[in-house]
Amino acid sequence: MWTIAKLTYQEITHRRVFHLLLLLTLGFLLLYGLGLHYAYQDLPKDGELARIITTEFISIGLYLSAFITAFLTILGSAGIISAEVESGIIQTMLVKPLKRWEIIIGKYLGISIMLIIYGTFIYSAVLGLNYYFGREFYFLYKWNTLKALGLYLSIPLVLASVTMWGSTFLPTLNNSVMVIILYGISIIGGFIERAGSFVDKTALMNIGIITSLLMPVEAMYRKMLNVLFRSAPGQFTIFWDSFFSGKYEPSKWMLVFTVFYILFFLWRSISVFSKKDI
Amino acid sequence: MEMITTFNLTKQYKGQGGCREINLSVPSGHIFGLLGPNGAGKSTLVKTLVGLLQPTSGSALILGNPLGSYKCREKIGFLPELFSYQKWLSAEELLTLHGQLYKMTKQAIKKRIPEVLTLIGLTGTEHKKVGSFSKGMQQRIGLACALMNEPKLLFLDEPTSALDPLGRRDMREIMLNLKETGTTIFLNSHLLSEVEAVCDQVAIINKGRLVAVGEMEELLTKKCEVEIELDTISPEFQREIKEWGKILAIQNNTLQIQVADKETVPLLAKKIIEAGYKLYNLHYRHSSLEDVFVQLVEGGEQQDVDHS
Repeated sequence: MWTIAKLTYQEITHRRVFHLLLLLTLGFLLLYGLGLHYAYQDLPKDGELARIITTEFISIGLYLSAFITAFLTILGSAGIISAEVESGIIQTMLVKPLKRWEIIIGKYLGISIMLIIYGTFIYSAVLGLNYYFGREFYFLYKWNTLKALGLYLSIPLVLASVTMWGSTFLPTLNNSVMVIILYGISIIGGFIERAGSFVDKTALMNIGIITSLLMPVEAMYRKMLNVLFRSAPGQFTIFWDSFFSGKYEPSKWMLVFTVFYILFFLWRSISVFSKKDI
Repeated sequence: MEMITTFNLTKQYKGQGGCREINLSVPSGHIFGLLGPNGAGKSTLVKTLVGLLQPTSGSALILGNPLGSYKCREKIGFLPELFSYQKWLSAEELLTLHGQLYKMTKQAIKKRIPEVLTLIGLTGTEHKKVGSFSKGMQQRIGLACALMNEPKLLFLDEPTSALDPLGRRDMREIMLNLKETGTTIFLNSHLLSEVEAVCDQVAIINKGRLVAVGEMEELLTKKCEVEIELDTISPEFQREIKEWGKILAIQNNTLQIQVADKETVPLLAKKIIEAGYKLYNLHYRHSSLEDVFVQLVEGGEQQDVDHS
């Protein structure tokens, strides 16, 4: 299983799309850093207002970085099984003394390790740039930062589990399209839910909750922001109802649901792949 | 010991195609050839035997273990027909990977890599990327991957399809060398000359069903043709000789007859001389694999036409 995990990690990091995304990531961080440099120069010195604007800067940075990470996940894992079936690589592996579940879990571990490294880097870079340029306004509590990182990383892990499942029965292109559509639905659902929370429309919020059940990535993003901007114990809360975080924090049950969501899709991947004729 | 035994093994796709009710037995240390026209179900049978396809019905034992079991996969090697490998790996890295997948120890992998590279004639390419290999070299490195665990049973699915004539000859030599070391080979090929040159046993499959199986020698000598030149071929002689086989052609004083087997030939010669004919020439020729193959496959198709 670890051999497969290592191979998957190496395989993804050897792909051109990965190198291209790394370049784009550097481009994004450069632009974002430049923007922060000028924005923090003109920031009002009023502590409360400055902190509110800082949360927006961080939210925008994390939103876009989560978007890039999501695309890396989808493009990196859409063909994780199907492309190997199409090329015939998988045939030589399946005749080895390996259980098929070892291949699924090994591949998931491989891609997860890469996503955790990449996600941690881009998350740290966004927070690091905000700290560098807006040191006097910086207020994040370190333990919340770590907890939020865990929630941030859950986004690509959810996407990877669904993409893995799709890859067991769909061709690579169809799988990419399916997961991008699901991801899009989740984002739109998140917008609708946030809009609903601001105007107190239960119907809109319910639509958002249903789309979160379909794919809980947007809910995890909002929960991540809520945890990140929560104050240290004993301090007063500076959190406000941001456009990105919404008015209500997704409950801890959504977190539990997300864990089961990942496990469910891994189980389905194993189940479909175990019966698959190659 | 039987390396492969199948019991009515069937694999069909939505009730169609594939292979049906296959009963085979492949003994240890032999090269077993599987022949058949395109779409006959050869690759389906090979893929079912190595566990890539789940049988629709029937069963099989591979090295005494149930089909697809973990234990049997420890000691088999497989070179698929259509395959590719991680192009960004070097030959050494690729072989290390396959050694690890076979759960070999680091020391065993290190020892085995130069052995297999020598065996398949790729010594000196350890550090070259597999992506830079020619088709023939990729076929060889594929075989090296399949040999990493010193398999007792090796499945080769069209192993010479990408090779030039010299490469084919080398592959034949490799197969014969492996046989010498006790490896059993299950060879799926559409190249009749290749099968005829290396196989001890052969099975012919047509439209998913086995139409012939047996020792190569036995299959080839099943039907022998004898050309006889006499001083005269009288109607009486024609009547007498019909007891020995089927007359194929008569031209002047030469007659062609198909006899049951090789052992019939000396008996036939004795009979002719005892009957007082002058025997000027007797030429015996057994069927080539191509004759047998064409006869069985076309015969099967003719039967289908007759039934329809």
